[in-house]
Amino acid sequence: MKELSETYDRYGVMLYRLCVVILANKEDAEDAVHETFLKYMGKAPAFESDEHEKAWLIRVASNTAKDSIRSRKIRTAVDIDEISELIGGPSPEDSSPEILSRVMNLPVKYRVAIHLHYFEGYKIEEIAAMQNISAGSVTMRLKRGREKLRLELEDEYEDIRLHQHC
Amino acid sequence: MKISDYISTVEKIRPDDTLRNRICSIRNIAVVEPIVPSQRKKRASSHLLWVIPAAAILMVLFGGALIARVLMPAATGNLPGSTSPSDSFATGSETTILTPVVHAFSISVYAADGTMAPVTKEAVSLVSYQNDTLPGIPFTMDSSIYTDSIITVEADKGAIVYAPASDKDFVTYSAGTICTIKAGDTFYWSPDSTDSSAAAITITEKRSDVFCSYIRMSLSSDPGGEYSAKIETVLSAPIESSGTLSVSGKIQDGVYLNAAIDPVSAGYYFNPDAVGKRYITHLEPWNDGKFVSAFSEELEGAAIRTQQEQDAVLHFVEVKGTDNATGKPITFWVNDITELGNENRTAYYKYRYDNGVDILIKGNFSHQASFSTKTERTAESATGYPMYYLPTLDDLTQEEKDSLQQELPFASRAQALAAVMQKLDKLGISVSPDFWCYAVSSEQFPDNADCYYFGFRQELNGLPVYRNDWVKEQQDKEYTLAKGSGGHDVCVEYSEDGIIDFRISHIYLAENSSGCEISECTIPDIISAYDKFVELNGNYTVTEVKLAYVETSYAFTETDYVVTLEPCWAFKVRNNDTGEEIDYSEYGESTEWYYVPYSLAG
Repeated sequence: MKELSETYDRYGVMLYRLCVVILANKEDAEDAVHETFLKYMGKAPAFESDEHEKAWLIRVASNTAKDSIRSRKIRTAVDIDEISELIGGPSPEDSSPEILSRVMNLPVKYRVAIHLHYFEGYKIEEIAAMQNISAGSVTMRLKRGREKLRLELEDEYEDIRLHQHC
Repeated sequence: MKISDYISTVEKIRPDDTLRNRICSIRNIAVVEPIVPSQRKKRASSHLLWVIPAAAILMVLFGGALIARVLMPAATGNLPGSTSPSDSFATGSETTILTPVVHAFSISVYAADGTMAPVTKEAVSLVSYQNDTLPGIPFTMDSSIYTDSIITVEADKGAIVYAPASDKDFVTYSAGTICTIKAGDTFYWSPDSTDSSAAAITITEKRSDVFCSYIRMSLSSDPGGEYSAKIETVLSAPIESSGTLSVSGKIQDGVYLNAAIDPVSAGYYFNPDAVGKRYITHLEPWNDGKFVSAFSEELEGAAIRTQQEQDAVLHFVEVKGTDNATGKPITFWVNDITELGNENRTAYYKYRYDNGVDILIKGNFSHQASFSTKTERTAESATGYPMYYLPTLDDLTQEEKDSLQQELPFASRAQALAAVMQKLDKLGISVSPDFWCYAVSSEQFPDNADCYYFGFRQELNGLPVYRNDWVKEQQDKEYTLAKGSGGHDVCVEYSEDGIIDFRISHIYLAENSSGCEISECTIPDIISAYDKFVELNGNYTVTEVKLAYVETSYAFTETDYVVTLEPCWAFKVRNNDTGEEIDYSEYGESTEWYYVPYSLAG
């Protein structure tokens, strides 16, 4: 297994962002990432490739974050000030908090699908495999998530595909 | 809202350095074992051993829990890489056969004009049969094949005549008998006294018992007794460990293509035995994304249940259809293979068959592969990616569900169910009665055939298995049903052509089953669980209670994927405020979890 620091440097930010999107809370997201790496150290299988490793981490992180929501047994209230803090205190004209707030007010399953697809660039089939759901379900979640957000995707899709992330 | 806004916003999210420090300080974490609930009242003493087909799953019952261990093949390190032009088939014109570049051989004949000519897709008139001077029509293998290849020749009519060495006598191999020859050698085909006006010769090359090339050649004679030959089928694939599924371009009519995946070596190869046979193949997460054949026509009634059985069966990706000319069932051919994905992603290959069916294969199997046997359902996908298949039940609106309850013209739902159950019986798969069934019409869902679409849960010990995402609460250590995952692990499509799609996520088989002690669970257990549910969720009324196995944890070992199945009371409830009925298989949104409390049985 690689050094944990190396793994974190490669995937930590990505996992943190995913957990933030799910949990809408800095501390909870940090805890979820921490727990993900605990599982990584304790239970990770032998990875055949970096992609395999990354997909495993995403799956574990998203499940861990969802578990965290459930453990609270309360509705997840999305605080706009807290979101502003997450993105480093935007300027007054910045619409970022509102955008993030809208996404974070989606059901988690839509959030995860949208984030993995549009931000991380995963394909529907890849998300389906990671989330252990059918491709049809992913597609439906994307569709309904988009409807709720009224995302303007069509003209931007090709650009998004080229968007590369760590 | 634009998606680019979302991306730019998320990019602003970055963790503090403290998180890195916290994580990098993790040391010496013990392997976490599958969890057994601490509040268990009684422990069953029996242990169950279960085996899942196609690679075994071992399941052990601990205190009422089933521990399912899913065997995964050892890492092989010889995963196929990316396709390079030199590795690919070179495609010829519409009238020529594909010329395999890698590890394939060709065969030549003495043509009627006296020249040596390769046998091609086009019929080649052969040199006249010189019965008095030659033992038959001569065919010569080219010399480009590997010296360590084993080449076998077989004719379905007539006989193959071959001299294993120049100083040896000819040996006659009658129809159906395999003759092993050397590269560069000449063999002969001879008609016999029976009808040999048409015959087929198959030539197969293997290296180290791995199939790498196959040619099927047909011979036919005109009324004058002059024979001609042409290639019917060419199959070839690289067998090097670094090779990939080296198929690209259009495959001509008359050429069958069957991709066979070696589950052990994770390599690909084509196998001539696949021609004309149907195997239903799908990926298995527990198999680390490798394809697994759930069952085949040949194995009907004997689903693969052990690793040995799996190893013995080749895994194909192919589609069965109907030959337009004869009306007989045939295997559909791939006519287009597209590499999907990008440089930073594992390559996907999309196989488009003649009947429009797509199958996606992930090229390097680096993690879970996915595939679909459905074309785009609608054009509504704005992503550019095709939409596949119907959504799962929890992703359909009630209106959509209601619209899928009609009878289809080719058969009643009952008839379709009977046919499907017959198939399940043959396969030895027990399913619970709480299946769902959509009646899918092509009018409503374009690109789908009219079919009934069934989803079943498998049964163990008479209990349905809910392989959903039940998780242990971090704080109170109870279990909750949290996330929909489709749930049903046996999905079948039944059309007027019979079963057209059959997918099984896992098949369980009990060995040494002694059952769990569920009979000791008492009514107070259920009441207690229900009280907990109401406490958590409010004004609900339970309309149905059932006992089921649910997956409560999973764990990876070096070689296995282990899941724990717990017997659990599951409730179907009605929201008294809204009147909404909530099945145990349905799930709320993230902010509105429908808790189904865990109640130990046994």
